[in-house]
Order: sequence, then C-alpha cells, then structure tokens
Amino acid sequence: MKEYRHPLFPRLTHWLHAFCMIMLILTGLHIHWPEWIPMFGSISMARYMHFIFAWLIIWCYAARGYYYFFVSKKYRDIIFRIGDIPGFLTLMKYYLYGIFTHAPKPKFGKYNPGQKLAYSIWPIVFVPQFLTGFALYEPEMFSVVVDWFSGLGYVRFWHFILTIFYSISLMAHLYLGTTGATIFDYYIGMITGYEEAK
Amino acid sequence: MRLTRRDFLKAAGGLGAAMLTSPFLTKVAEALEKGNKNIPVIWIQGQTDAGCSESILNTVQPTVVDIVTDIISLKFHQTVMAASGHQCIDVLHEALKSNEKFILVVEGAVPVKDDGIYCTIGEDDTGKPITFLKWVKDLGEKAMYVVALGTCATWGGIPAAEPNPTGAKPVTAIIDPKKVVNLPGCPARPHHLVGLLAHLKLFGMPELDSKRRPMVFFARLIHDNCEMRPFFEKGDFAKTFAEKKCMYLLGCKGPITYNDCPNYQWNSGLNWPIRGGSPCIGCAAESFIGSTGNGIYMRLPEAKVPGIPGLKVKADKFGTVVGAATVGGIIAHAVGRALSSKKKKEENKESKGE
Repeated sequence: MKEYRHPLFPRLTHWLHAFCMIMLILTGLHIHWPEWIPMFGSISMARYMHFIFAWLIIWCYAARGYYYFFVSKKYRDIIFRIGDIPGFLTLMKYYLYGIFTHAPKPKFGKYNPGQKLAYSIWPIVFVPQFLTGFALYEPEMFSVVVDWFSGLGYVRFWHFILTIFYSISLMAHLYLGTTGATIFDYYIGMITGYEEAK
Repeated sequence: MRLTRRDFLKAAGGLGAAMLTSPFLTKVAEALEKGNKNIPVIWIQGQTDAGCSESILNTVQPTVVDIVTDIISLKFHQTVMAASGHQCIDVLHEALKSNEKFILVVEGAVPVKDDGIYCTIGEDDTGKPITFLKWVKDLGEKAMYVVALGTCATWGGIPAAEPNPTGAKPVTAIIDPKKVVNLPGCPARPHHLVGLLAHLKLFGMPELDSKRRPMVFFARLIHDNCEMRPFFEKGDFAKTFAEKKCMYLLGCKGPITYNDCPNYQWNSGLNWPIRGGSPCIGCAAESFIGSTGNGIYMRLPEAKVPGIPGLKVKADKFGTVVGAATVGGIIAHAVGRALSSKKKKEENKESKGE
C-alpha cells in the first residue's frame, strides 16, 4: 500500500538542493586541493561554478523557507524542540542496536526526532557557511566577517571545517535513506512522492 | 619550555586534525615513540649564511632538543658543535673510514671553479685545505641519503646568481641525484627537515616530485592556496604595499613557487609573508634571485591573467537574476493566494446571501 507523502515542490527543491550541495562540495574540493582533485579544469572555473551553485542554493533555501513557513505551514514537522529529546534517545537506541536485531521501528510523526534535528541544524550551520563563503567571494564588502575570523586564511579554514560537517551529515542522510520498508523505498518516495504506508 | 613526549603527541594529533592536510606529524610522533637507535647525521655547510641551521634550531614541535636526543645523532655541525680543530674534523675522516651508515645534510651551494678552492673545511695530513667539493663528493658517496637543505643546496641560490664568480653548483650536480632529497626554501622550513629525517629513519625515501622534492611539502603552488586568491580572481590588485589585496603586480612569486606556506605559515603558524603584506619572493623556487631575469619586486611575465576566457555571465549577475526570479515567484504566489482567498470569501458570502 503506497502513500503520497511528498508533494512536487518539496521534491523538486530537495533535488535541486542536493545537486547544488554535491557540486559545491566537489568544486570546493578542487579549490582546496587543486593539485589532487583538479576535476573542473582550472581554479578559476571551479570558483566560478562554486559561486553559481552557491547562489542557486541560497535562493533555493529561500524558496523552501517560504514554502514551509507560509505555504504548507508544515514547519512544525521539521523543527526540533526540547520535547523531542526523549524521542531522540529512543531513536538513537534503535539506530545503534534495535535496527540490527529487527526490533520494531519506534513511531513518530511525519519526521522522527533525528530528522528534525538534522533538518533544523542544517539551515543554522548554513549561516556561518554562507558568511564565510561570502567573505571569500567579496572580501572587501564582507571585511567585518574577515576581521571576526582574523584573516582570510582562517575564514577559509572554517569554511572547510563546515564543509566536512556537511559532507559527514550528507553521508548519514544517504545511509538513513536506506532504512525504509525496502532499501530504496525512501529514495523512490523522494522521486515519485509515494512511499510504503506505515 | 620543554615538551614532554605526551605533549608532543597531543600537539601533533591536534595540529594534524586542525590542518586536515597531512598525517605527517603523527608519523613524526611515531618516529619518536619507536625510540630505536638514533640515525647518525653529518651536517656540513658550504656557501651558506647558516640561515637554514638557524631556522631548524627554531623548530618547536618537536623542539630541536627532542630531535637531537630522539630522532638523530648529530655527529657534525660546524656552527653548533662544541669541539674545534682536529677534534671535529676527525669526525668527518672517521665517517669516511667506518662502515656506519649516516645521513648527510648539505647546507649551501658547492663552488666548483678552480677545483672548489673557494670553500674549504679542515686540512689533510700535509696541511693542505680540503675543499667543500671533495667533502660533498666523498661523504655523499658514503651516505645512505643526502639532504640538500635550503635553496642554495637545491638550486644554487644566491651564490650561484649571476655572475657566479665561484662556479657555485647545487648538490644534485655534484653527486648521484638518486640519493638526494631537495628541501628548497630560504631558509628551509623546520618541519620539512624534521619530517624528512623522521621519514628517512622510519620508512626510507619519501615520495618525490620530478625535482626531487618531497611531494607532501611541495605538491602545491603558493598561489593555489593563497588567502588573497579571491582578490586575484577579481583582478583586484594592490598598487602599494599598504593595501591588503593580491600582490601579483607588486612582484608576488606565488604563481611559480611550490611550498606549503599558505597551510602551515611561519613562526609556528603565527603569520606568513602574504598576510604580513609582503609578496612571496619565491624563495623556494628554482628561479629565486634573478636566474629568470625578474628580481624580487618585478612582476612575473609568464603568470596567467585571472578569469575564464569567453565568460559572458558573471556569478553575481547570475545570482541577481535567480534571486529576482525567486523573490518574484514568492511575491506572485503570495499575492495570488491572497486574491484567491479573498475571492473565495466573497463567493462564500454570495452563496450564503442567496
């Protein structure tokens, strides 16, 4: 029995976001390790593409924010609150142990507390990522940010550290995407909108 | 202050984690941990200002004391050894006679003109001075590895600059280059020598590039990781030394110099020339001091101009257009919904009225 869970707009923006994220990580790796990962030709090209996808992801985020807060008004589904902490602990117990002994999956709302935590932290971490990124893009306009970090070298360093955070959480996101009814259930759901009913 | 071994391990791990570039320092820590027989090092200085020695003496992680007590056994070093006269020169003669393996560190260029008479160390039995050239040849033949320390030993450097009156040559021109590891830099960087010695002791020869420099330190151009790169890409160049911008037009040699300064900086990561407002003078580059005709403050003729050829749409223009479209879409949606809900209300009213 399939259930319609993801409307078109969240699905589209989700994949646009995912594509931008992956391109940003790849172009960023080229910029960071130009002699080891030179996949976009030149640093100039990698930087150019990096800014293009940065702009895309910023406006994509703006559109998604508008959608969740003013159109679907489902922001309560994805914001992590203090009351979610006990549920989060139950969930962690399940992911670290129960899932391997085929224990029943704990039941939550549309998104579980772990998802809520991730979906709440991502936009928060996006703020310093956005600021450091813009400091590297327009160092004079954002000289205040450069001064906070005491120099462009440190701005780069923190921009990179936050990328590591995003890359790791992306891997967790991809893994947890396989924990649905079947391995690809959630992935198919994110494409067609339909998932196995719970 | 002396670092304990534990402190060093912590610092190495922390630095390794912080830089996320190279697990090299933790390997140095392993070298210290093993603590087996220290490898003998003979360090001779030719046409040099001892700046490289000075630089290495300033190493803090680990300290120079840790190095001479835990990694190497320093047999000979002209400027820091306590012995003098025959006492010290005999060390070199003994090294040539015995079968003990050692690493030779050569600091400075080797003059070869007039049989190398322009630089000598000690005398033979007849009282005739022994040339530096002969020492490098003889000791180099005997040594397991030869480290050419600094730009003079690697490329010839300042002694070999025009008109090169002493016929100064790099170490690789004197002995079999297969034994040699080059560590250019004026001065050479402390962690390069410490890392290299630890690697030679633990794992043998490290991975080298075509100019026999360790890849781990010399794979990247300064320019590629420079913190002023955003200014370069925008074509925004400093015209005086007071401006905190790309110093390409002030003669920066970052685009031709391979070194890890942008990552590790200098003085234990405190600062480095670019942040201090000085262009890179290319001290580790083969062309250092005029061999290519551009002095310290002359602009590089061959470096590529920034930008992408044939590019029509700039990134911020793209951002503005996409942003305008997004905001426009949001406004259109909001207005549309407000209108339709108003219409619905009116319809509801009308239907109620009927």
